[in-house]
Amino acid sequence: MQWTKVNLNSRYQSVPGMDPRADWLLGPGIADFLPEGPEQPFPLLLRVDDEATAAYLNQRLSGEQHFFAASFGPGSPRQLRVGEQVSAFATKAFFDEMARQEPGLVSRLQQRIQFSLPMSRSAERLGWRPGQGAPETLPPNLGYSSGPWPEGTVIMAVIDDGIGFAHERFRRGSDKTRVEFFWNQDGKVPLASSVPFGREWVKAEIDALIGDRKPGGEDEIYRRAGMLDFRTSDHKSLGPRLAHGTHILDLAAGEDPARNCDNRPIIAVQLASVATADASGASIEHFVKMALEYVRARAKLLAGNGPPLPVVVNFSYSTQTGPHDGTAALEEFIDDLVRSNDPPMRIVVPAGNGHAARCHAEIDFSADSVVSLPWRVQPEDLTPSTLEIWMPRADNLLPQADRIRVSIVTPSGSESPLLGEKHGSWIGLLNHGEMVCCVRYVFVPSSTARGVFVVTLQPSARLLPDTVASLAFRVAPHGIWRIKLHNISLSKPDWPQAWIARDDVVFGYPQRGRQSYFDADCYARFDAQGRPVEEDPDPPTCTVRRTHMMNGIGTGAETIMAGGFRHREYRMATYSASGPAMAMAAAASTPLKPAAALVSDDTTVHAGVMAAGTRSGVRLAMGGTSVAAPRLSRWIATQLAASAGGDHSAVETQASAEEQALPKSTPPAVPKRAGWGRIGSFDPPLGQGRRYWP
Amino acid sequence: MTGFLNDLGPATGATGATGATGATGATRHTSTGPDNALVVEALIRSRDGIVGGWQPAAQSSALPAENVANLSRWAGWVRAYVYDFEVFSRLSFSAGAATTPGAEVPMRIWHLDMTPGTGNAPPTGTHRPLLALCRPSIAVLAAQVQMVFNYADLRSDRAAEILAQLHGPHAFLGSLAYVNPERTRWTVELLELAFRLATHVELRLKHALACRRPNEFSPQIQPMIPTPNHGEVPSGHAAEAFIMALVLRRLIQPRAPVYSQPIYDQQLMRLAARIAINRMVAGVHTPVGTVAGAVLGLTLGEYLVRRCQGSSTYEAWAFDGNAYPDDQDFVWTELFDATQSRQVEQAAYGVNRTGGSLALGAPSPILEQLWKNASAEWL
Repeated sequence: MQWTKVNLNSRYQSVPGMDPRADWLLGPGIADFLPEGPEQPFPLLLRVDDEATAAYLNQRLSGEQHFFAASFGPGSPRQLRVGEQVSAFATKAFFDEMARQEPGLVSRLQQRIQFSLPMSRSAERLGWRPGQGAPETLPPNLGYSSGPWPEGTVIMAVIDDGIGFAHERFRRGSDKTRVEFFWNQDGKVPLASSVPFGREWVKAEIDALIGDRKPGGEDEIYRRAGMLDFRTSDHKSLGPRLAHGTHILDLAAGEDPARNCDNRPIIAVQLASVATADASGASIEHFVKMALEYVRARAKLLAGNGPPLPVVVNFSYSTQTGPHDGTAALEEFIDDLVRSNDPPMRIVVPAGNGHAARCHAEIDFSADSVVSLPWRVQPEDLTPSTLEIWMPRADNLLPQADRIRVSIVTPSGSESPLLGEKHGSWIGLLNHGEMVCCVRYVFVPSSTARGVFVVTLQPSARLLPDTVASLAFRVAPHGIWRIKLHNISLSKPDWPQAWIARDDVVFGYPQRGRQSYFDADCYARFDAQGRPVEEDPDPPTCTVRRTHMMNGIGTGAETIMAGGFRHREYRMATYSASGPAMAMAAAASTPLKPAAALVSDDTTVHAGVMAAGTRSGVRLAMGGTSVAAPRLSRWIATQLAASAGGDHSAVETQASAEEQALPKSTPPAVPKRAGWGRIGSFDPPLGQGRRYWP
Repeated sequence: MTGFLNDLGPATGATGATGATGATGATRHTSTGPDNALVVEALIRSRDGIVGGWQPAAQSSALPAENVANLSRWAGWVRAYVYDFEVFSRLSFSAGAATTPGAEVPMRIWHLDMTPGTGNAPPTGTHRPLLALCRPSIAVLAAQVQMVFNYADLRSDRAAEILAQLHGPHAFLGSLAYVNPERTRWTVELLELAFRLATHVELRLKHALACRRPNEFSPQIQPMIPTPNHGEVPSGHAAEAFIMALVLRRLIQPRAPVYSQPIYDQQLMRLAARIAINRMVAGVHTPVGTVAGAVLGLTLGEYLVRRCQGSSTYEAWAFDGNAYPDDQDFVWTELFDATQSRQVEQAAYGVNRTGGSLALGAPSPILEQLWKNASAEWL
């Protein structure tokens, strides 16, 4: 294997605002990104900042065979407008041409193009072929209209995987669903449809499925909805008895059907399973943005001619990569969505479970101008491993000179050339001509305006098909890779921050990835008595930190993030992620910590909290900060129903009040993990053991 | 210390299938068992000590011959053989002829509509159809294996059930309705008879149809339990689960208003279907084999019930695997109508009733007594 250095020949990076991963995904990583071959269309998020580019793209949109926009519902853009985020699908050929035309300098600072993983073929419009232009999206056929809505109605929306929409906990009475709209992003749909991909179910259809009262029960309902079709090998999230999305929706909006709840209608989105299966979260942005637009469009439909109905959206997913300063594409989209107040929306996400994952490092050059990050990559890891090193903001945005240089040492000791802060340059490790490791520097424009060094490794093992011989060489050695950062001009507190992308088993999905982590001698996992260390020492003694593992898509100003604590002991859950140890030079309005912490485990031994399994009549335990978020969502809904703000500051006020009212004997919780405080007031008191959530 | 001794039952282990009935309570080879040398020696010596000289015995009265009243005198395992004789003496097998050239051959189970002879004359009778099963073509079986691969997704979720159901559905049925080896011992005997009926017919058909198992088509199936040493079609677990579910259903249905509710059909059939599907999840059956097994179980269940009730007629059913599409999954609601509590046809993939109402012929007082005794346990 030998190292090679490449300068701005990289075709895709020359396009301003291009996804930092583009050169990898359409280059050495293409076999993993586009398993069906280079013709496979994949989704993307686009925002352009000048009329010329917008016109160029719009012209390509009409009748273009490699590029089409996805939209739905009245009011959603099908053409690009300057400054607006648009979802589209494109093929590699489209970007090849775009790259050929661009001059190759980072001149436009507002543009942003973000890739997502392609969907399975069954989700795309049946019969769509390149060259046909964008498929038509129609308004949904409601059947009958719900409403008028009583005062205090709040729409509860959940975006997740494995949502049992026919479950009795989401009904009024025994057979009328409260789920007004359900979008299965993976479903099969004919060409003219009410959603751009997947399949939508309206309340009338769900009521018909439930009302049929077929002896096959909910198994039969989901089979008829195409979600339990064993003729396909797609992942069937509703197959097992516990699914993430059903549990979450129950916590956020589940009610005893006998209560006849009429003021919490539900909108639910089953995320495309490719988005969930890719644990790194690198591919969710497009699907989540589409889901949020869908929720907004349908919320407006539900309000009809009446006053706008407020919406609480619970999105219990978390990522580890990204700038963590509120400027990720999805974070900005959420901020825009909430600020537009049209209708009032609140977005709640979990803080993340990576507190002890050893996936964050803060490179402090105080003691030494060369810092080495030991990155342990596991054997038998069938998915690529990625690490991002985010640079602090430079004074005049684009760095004028290298502030640091980076090199990387393979497990066998071969050191790469140095890489500086030159946009688009990269170094790669070649194995028989195939790139197995790539380190590149990208300046991410737009509101992020920061440089990032992205290190990507091929999987450390592959299950090889017979056909592609060269794939055998696209395997990176496992072991400890050392990333050496050489300081030139950085000083405290502007240190680089490194995050490793999540790569472990996703709930309910087969195991493919194995989480890589920083394996540093200085990181003490256990104290002298053998207990796990829960917080970093102060002052920190190691580059590798527990702090700042909080959700990479939760740092926006308007996103409300929930950490988790154990109800009996009132201690933070050991996994509940933390904000940064000290303030960063980031967008001033981002909170840099969760808003509050809520119950995510009943007791130390009774992990998780009880809520609905996939079928009616089943209740199971599930934990993680994922389950803290919907409890907060439910509380926010009660606030909105009473015409109170239910926004970030309302959560802060409530959390502070409850934290201050705790008995003095309660163990303290650090604010960077518990946010403004622990909210437990609306959980029924814990008895002897586990609580069975009503 | 010895308790009351009982005989061991037959020496062969072949009745392992009946071992699930605790009612026979046969003590086997325990240190206090009847074959224990110490006890035998003790019995000899004790008798020597107390017997005294021979005195002619008073005559006891003879038991009535060939009388169902005697049934409760015998051990459970003895009754089991007697029921088996009643059932199997009226069944026979033949391999038919293909209806179109190249199609698979129907394997036929016949019921003997028997009339007993008067006095010492031999009985006479006519064989009537009961079941006809054609296997699917090897191409269809191979295509179906893909669905077995897809079902593997549920293995972790179903593992506990699959292991608990390895030897049959007994614990699960017993959990659904209050079936208990002591409290409802006749019901248990009836259900065991149903189990044995299904087993005998299904194994004879498995031999005849000789269908390969999923792991013979691909090394990627990798079943999570050992693949049994018999053919795939029809699925034994499906047949056993459906026959026992249906027989239990018919038994308790008229006994109390609670049991007549359709929810009993729904839950019993859902349970049987889940047990059958678990075999696909485990990787040892295909959907077509499961459909064939379910049809077998439902048909034989209804048939056994008619014989036990002393009905004059029964129904015959056929499954034509030639007509089964290669992408058809097993859906129990397409084979049984739980609201009407009866088996239904599915011409789209070869499940048909044949021949209308057929004559059962001579009744069996023994089976009818079993049914009466079992019914009386449900109040």
